[in-house]
Amino acid sequence: MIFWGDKPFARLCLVLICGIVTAKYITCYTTILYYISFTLLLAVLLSTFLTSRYRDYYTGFLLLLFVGIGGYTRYTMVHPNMDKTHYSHYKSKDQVLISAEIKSIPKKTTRYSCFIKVNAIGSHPDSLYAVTGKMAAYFNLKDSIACHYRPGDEILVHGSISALRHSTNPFAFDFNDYLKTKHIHHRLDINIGSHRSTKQNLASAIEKAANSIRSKAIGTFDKYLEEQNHRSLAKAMVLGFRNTIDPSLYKSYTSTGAVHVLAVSGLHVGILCQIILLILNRLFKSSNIEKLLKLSFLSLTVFIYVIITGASAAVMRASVMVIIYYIGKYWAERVNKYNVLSLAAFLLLIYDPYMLFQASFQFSFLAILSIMLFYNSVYEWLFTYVELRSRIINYIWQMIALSIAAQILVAPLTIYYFHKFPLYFWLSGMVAVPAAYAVLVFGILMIIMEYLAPCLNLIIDYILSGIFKIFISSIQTIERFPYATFENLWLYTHELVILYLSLIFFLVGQHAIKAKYIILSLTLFLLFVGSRNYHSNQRVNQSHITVYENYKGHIIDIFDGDMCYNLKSTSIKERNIEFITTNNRINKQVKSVIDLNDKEIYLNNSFIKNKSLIQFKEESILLLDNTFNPPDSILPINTVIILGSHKINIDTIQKYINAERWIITQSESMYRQRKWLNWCSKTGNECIAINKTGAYSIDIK
Amino acid sequence: MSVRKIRKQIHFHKNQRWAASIIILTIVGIITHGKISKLNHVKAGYNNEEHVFILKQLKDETDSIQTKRVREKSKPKLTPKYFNPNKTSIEELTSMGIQEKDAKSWMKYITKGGKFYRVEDLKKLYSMNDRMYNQLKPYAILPKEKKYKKEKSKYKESLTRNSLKKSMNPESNIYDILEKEKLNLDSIQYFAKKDELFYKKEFASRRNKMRSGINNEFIISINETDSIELRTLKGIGPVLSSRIIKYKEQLGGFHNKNQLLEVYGVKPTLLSNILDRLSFEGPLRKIKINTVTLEELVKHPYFDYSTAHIFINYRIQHGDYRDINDIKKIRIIKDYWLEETAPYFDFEPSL
Repeated sequence: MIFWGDKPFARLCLVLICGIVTAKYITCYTTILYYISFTLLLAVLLSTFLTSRYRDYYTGFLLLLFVGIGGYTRYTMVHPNMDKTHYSHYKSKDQVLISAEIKSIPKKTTRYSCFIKVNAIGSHPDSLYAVTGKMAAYFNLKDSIACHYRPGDEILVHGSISALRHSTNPFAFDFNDYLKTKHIHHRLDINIGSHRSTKQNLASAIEKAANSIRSKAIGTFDKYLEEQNHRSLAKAMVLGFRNTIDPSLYKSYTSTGAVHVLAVSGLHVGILCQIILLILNRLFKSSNIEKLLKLSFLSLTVFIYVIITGASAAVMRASVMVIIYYIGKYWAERVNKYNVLSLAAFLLLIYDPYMLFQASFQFSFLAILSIMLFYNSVYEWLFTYVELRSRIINYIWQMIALSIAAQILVAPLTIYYFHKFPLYFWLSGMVAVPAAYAVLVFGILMIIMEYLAPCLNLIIDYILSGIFKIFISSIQTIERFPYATFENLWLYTHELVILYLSLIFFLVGQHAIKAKYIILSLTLFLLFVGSRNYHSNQRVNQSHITVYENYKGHIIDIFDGDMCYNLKSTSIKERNIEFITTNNRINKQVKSVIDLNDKEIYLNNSFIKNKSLIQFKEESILLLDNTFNPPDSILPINTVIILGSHKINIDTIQKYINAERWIITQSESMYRQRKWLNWCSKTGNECIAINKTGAYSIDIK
Repeated sequence: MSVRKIRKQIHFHKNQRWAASIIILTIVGIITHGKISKLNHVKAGYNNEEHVFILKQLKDETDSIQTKRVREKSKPKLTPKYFNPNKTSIEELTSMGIQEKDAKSWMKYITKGGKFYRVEDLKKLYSMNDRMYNQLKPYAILPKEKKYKKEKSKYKESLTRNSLKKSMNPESNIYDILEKEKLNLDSIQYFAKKDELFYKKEFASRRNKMRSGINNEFIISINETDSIELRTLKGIGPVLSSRIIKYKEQLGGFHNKNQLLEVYGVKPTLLSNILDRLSFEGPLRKIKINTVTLEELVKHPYFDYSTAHIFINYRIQHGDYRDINDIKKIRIIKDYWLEETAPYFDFEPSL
């Protein structure tokens, strides 16, 4: 088994994670949890003073129990239901008056959106309550005032509040779920003229300074770097400002597995710390006070960098780890890296337990853990076959070994979230990591030189532009290599868990040199393979119809084995259709998509479309739109899908159609949707309104 | 798992316990402090008077917009009937659902000399809003005034009554009812429209059928038609039809619906409306690609001078074109252009 002796926080962290995961799936909002946690804490403290032979054991047991229940309590504590200061307890109507602070720069999409921190809420100006909590605010796209709001600005709003709804489209990315991991449970819709700025900035002095440094740094990059791509990369890699990256360039980075350098992460914090320590070690020696000064200065710099770059999970993790590591290094005999990582995770999860469910947190910790566990083995593997004498080749192999080691634990998660895997990650890593070093060094130098000696920035600009040109062209070249990305990969949650368990048992078996764990690991792996085969077999003869939810119209996919027939409203953009349907199609392992919109007649083995009528295996489907002509006699149909713009009289429809189910898509107007629902309730027909029930799937036998 | 192994998993030695306890106590302290300060912040309430004043203003502004909208929605729907706005009465207006005070202001407008010459003049009324106007507009009848109005109106009245009588169902007693009530023309029309026994519908539909001798379902072969037949299509007049014929002559015929879009004035919406009346079958005037001269080729709309030159030169260098594959060998030629032009080629060899 694992030796926990030198990594106490690893155990505590695992138990904390168990508590948080339990709280997510088995929620119980009650204040009794506080009393239980408090009692356990007292028990732990008291037992420390007891004298008993088994004190170390039962104190340890109580400590583990406290941390587990504490994790559960902490998760429920931050939920709005348990937080009595949250604004959701004070809003009585949907129309509310709010005093809030802008927390992010308004982003332009279909509307201007930003996050706000609510300071006061009420339905009437004379009954305002001081509250806490965050919301997503949406301004009208034509609002010329909202686009100029900046973080820290105080605003007063009269708007409409609504709870965030889950996406019902199968396997689609749920943005509202993602917002909930950031403690945002409601949205506020604000019309033009319904908000005012008080002209005050509520940000703290540190936040103001950080925002000011950030905007000046952005201005410096805009001033010197000529090309738009260079500017956007500099802002992303130095400041964590990713809003301006060209989508095609971003896609190149994701395809080659180099996207991690575009987000400010532990790599950047590590580079920054190395630079600072390089300077500090020359200024200070090794007395205790000087060590304390070094640590303080390092902590302050790292803290400011965290604030400037937006305090993402990866940056916070790296900052906490760096500070703990150097505390240990300066004052402890030895530092266990797993303990440091566990302590960093422990502190971050106590601060915000929802972080556990953020992809950036998972990737960040898994990558570091993977490097810690596997780097040495991978690096030394080559030495069993080859002797590396050249320093350059040794350096190259170090970079490759680092990339491979990081990917061992991260690859399954990459496939799970993004459904693709970049084959040339090791090659892009060799380019991206040195480029990140160079960009960060010269980028920070450029920002500092803007104040000290702006003329030097012309030289730095020349160097930076050269670095970006080489970096971008290398990544784009790698992207064009054959089989650069394996796409359309699908991993179910249970498969991911089985795979990780298999890996864990393999590691335990290797560490403890016990065959039973290796056998268990292999068994789990076989289970994983069995699950893959089972799902593949299921997909061979699959027959489904999915009607997706989209407020602009209808999107329908008919799955027949590995083919997909698609019908959609012309008013919906391709990008939105891709967003809604891609994951479901990858899950079904669709190889070809046939657009039926232009095809009046289409024939295939088990699929026939003739204008409005579709016969798919045993299922007959009628598409009720403006091309439908009432037949002479009653048409028996399994499913009618109402697409809108038809001229049928709802009250007399049963003269023409006798259907088992009626699916009302969002292409139909709201007025007619209500009419259909009324008709269905009068006639006893089964009606499914996508607007109300969400996306709907039918399995065809 | 043995007891010893379990104990190993839960064992923390003294320093570890103390370190963990101190860290946890610190964290609990910070969290508790944070909670208490949040609670105090909430208990203190929100007392910023300036903000309260601004929020009051905001609320009033947005509420007034909202109230207007709600008022419009909450007004009961009118039940209009055909009426003459200049000759109506308060009773008639209120029977249609218009509020009494609005009806009174209407009558006041008329008695003071106000007159409605067109339906749009209804908007002059102070109480008239968009919703009311849209509901009343189809029912407002304003007969055109002319010099010999009185005579004509009588003639018109009698003509209408007579024609109504003639075209009514003899078994219906509606005409008797109408005569008995001595209703005015407008009301008769209103009743006539509503009456199911009155087969003006059939009369109208038959009238409509016989009004035109043109078969609106006849499929026109675009390559064999003339401009007169084309003019029968909706949206095509004399100018556009002659343009289409002229272009057809230049091309040698249409083989594809999209070619019609090359005619100036033919828009996609027009094309989609007339497409089901058009057929693209029929002979095309072919270009003898192996014997045609440069001057002749340039006359074709799809050939500019450079393209025609290339064709002729390639033929001189490589000999006659046997089929379309020979033309595909000219790599500079665009694929989609070739697709469109291919039907016009005649590969008859030169002697």
